[in-house]
Amino acid sequence: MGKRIAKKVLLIGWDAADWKVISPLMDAGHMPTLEKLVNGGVMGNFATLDPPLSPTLWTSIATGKRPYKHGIIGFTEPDPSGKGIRPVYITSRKVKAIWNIFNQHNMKSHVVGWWPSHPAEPINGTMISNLYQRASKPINEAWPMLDGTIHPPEKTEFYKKLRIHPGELTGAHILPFIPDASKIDQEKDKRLGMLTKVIADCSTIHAAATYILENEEWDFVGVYYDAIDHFCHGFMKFHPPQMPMVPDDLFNLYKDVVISGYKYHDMMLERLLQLAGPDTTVMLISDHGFHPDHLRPIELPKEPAAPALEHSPYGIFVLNGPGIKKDERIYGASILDVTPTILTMFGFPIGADMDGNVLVNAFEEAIIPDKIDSWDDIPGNTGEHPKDKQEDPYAAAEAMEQLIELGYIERPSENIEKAIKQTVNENNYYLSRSYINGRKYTEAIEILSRLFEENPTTTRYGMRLAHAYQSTNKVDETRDVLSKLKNVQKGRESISMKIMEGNLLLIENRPKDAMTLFEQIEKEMPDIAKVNMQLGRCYLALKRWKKAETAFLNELAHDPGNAAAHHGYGVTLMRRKKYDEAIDCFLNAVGLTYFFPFAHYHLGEALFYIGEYERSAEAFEVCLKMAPGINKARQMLSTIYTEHLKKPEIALDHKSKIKDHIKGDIVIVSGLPRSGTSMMMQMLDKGGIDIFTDGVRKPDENNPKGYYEHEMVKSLARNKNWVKDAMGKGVKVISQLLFELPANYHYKIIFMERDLDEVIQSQHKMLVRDGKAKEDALNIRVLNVFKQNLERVHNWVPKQNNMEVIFVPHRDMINNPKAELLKVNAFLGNSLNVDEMVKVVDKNLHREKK
Amino acid sequence: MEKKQPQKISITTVDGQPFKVPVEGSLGLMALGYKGLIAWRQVRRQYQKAREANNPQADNTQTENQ
Repeated sequence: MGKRIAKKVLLIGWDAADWKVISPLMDAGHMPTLEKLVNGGVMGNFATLDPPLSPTLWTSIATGKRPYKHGIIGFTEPDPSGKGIRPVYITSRKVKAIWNIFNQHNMKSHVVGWWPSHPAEPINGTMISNLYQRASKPINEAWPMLDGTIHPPEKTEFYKKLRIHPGELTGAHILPFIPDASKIDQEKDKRLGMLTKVIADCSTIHAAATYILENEEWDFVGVYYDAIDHFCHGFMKFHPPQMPMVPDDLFNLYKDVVISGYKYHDMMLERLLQLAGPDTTVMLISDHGFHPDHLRPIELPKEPAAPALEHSPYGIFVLNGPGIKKDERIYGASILDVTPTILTMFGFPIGADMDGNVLVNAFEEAIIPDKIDSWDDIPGNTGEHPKDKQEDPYAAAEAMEQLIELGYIERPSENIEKAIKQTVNENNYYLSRSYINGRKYTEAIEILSRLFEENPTTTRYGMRLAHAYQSTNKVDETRDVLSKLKNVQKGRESISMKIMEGNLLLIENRPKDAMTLFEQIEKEMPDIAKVNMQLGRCYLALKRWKKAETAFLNELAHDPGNAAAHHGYGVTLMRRKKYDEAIDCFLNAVGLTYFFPFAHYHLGEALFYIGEYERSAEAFEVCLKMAPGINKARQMLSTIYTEHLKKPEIALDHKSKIKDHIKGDIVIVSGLPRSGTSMMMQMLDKGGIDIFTDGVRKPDENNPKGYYEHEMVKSLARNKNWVKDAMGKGVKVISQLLFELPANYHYKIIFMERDLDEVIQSQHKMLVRDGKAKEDALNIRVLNVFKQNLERVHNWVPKQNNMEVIFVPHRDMINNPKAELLKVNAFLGNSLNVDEMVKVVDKNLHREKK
Repeated sequence: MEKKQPQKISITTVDGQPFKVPVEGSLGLMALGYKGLIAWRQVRRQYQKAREANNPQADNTQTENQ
């Protein structure tokens, strides 16, 4: 156990709370309690995750893990009984929540309304599930409570009495939100009823939470209020300034709802803080924000979870209590940091398998968090449901389907079946987005490929698949998906598809073509703000600084909170030697998104140019902490420490780390023998890459231009010592030996693919020429072995963390070498002489053709 | 646990003066949490009883289904 900083922790969740609404309210004195909490502690933006769906996010908050680890991936899930769908249950969570870790240490936790928390877990304390507060019947009908809503169950009757029915509310509760409520025709306009439910629901949660704080012993209390999110989804469109499509009468009726909702939360917060007492550490958070300004979408697409498009990517956090700094802003926090930070405050180690970090800058004293591999491996009384109650509703749905197929169970009605299928599909879609958000593209592509194949008309599946391919620089695969989407849309290309094509051109190092396309989009749709960033990037690549500046400024006029636009604008200024202004821009960028290594890098560069070497070094150090592979930053640090700060030992340290990093990079040319690997090696040679060859195997009739091989490679299965000598070079390794490459290097693999019949013919001719086979005895038995090998390569290589691969079709390389080599050049970082490489192709040597 | 619940809840202002709970309730009472809720319901019941005593024919269809 480390040092315990917090005596007690109160974690308050305000779904969708956003500084853009709160700041002006605090400035006007309308949220005095929150203002006091902020001034007495630290605050900042809280980066959300994608997809921004509340049950998945609040579970990430409570576990420190991304949804693909914790298992809560949507709003609903198949009922394991196969009878339909249900709201997502806590029993689908696969890992421990923070209160389960506390339970193992005999600490007392109470959890109110957390989403999801039904059925309530048997913890050492109270758990009131997220299905507690909803009233579905009129006030004069019975309002039963679902089994499992309250733990311990014997408190059920008491907590029933703390529920507030919407029918109990009076004008005194409604009029602060809608002063002219009496003018509403409730037959036609159901918004008043909705508002009443939201007020009643959050007041119910608040009643239960205040009871616990005042009457129970506790170490940790987590209480979740969803009302701000509901106020915003229902009424943000009426929030000032008036949106063009909102009529005056509705604007005047509902314009105060969102503001009043926040004020009410400030009042409830005051009570919570009174009851928690001054020695409690309070953390107030939201899972995402909610656009209150011109970024409010005018129309939502007709698809599940479309309202999430109204969310903004930054929530809020405030941390206040003993040992916490006062009146400071913390940068770069994420919702994943909540659990690691609270564990640290109680003196517990964090799990190395957690995706979040401890907010160390929030503490007055320097903190070095302890770590263990995983809390999920530590046995104990966790207060989770017994294993036989924990469920995997997706596995259950699959097992159910199998039993139906086998005839053991009757197929449910068509509607139920359709609903289950739809839920499974949507949740898989969310899961793939979570993988993309965690940069696990291989897993995302696997799911999306299947989804898109089964549902070719669901364009969002296809667009997301294209995005995943694009993110891994798989240009051909991206174009293939885009072309399928175009067919589905009867030849029509959406703006998003055009933008993606432009991004592909940028990946291929064709900024002029990309620029032409983006300029065309801008001309067709002058109101579209989406292309500002893309245009800015094209102009930067073309060194057209003034035009790049205009594009980034246009984007900033549209969204002043866009960190990438501040960064891009800063680069345009720095390249024109306007260093002070550039520094301001980079500081703005990291102020908005602290985890932005290139913004720190450019900040360091600009500071270097004005001679601020200490600050420059600091910025480069931060950059390297986030992205240790940016060797340019190490090079700069080495120069600064040697020449300006006169600290040669630190410079040396950075120099040695540069070497460490270079250690991993090896370019591999691979494929089946006779698939064009020698040609590619020769191309790399001409393009400027050092080749790892011993020249033992001489050119011959089979390969007149040489083999570019090294004898040591043949021994790879038993001897890997030579690999260090290939660092920074190009090496030919046949596909069968790829699996033998040692894991402590990073490989960029150019994999040549040739028609298998041509490969076999070519190999046969070679054996005949060498007198090792007869002309008429073609060995076609090897065909299946080669096929299996290729399948294994396709499956295995992309899953390796230390490998990147580009598959190059041999035929395309022969017929259109320039296009293929541009892709290879982009894959290798655009440092090759492509024109020299193109000259290598000799069509006369392509002797076996189908 | 129910034993801990006060039978009669009284609300005071910040300067310690007794606060007269309005029968129609208020957001401020709701923000006080369970105590504000219980105090409001007590006042509401007393008002209801008084109304029924003054007008025994009054039809009270609204029940609190707790």
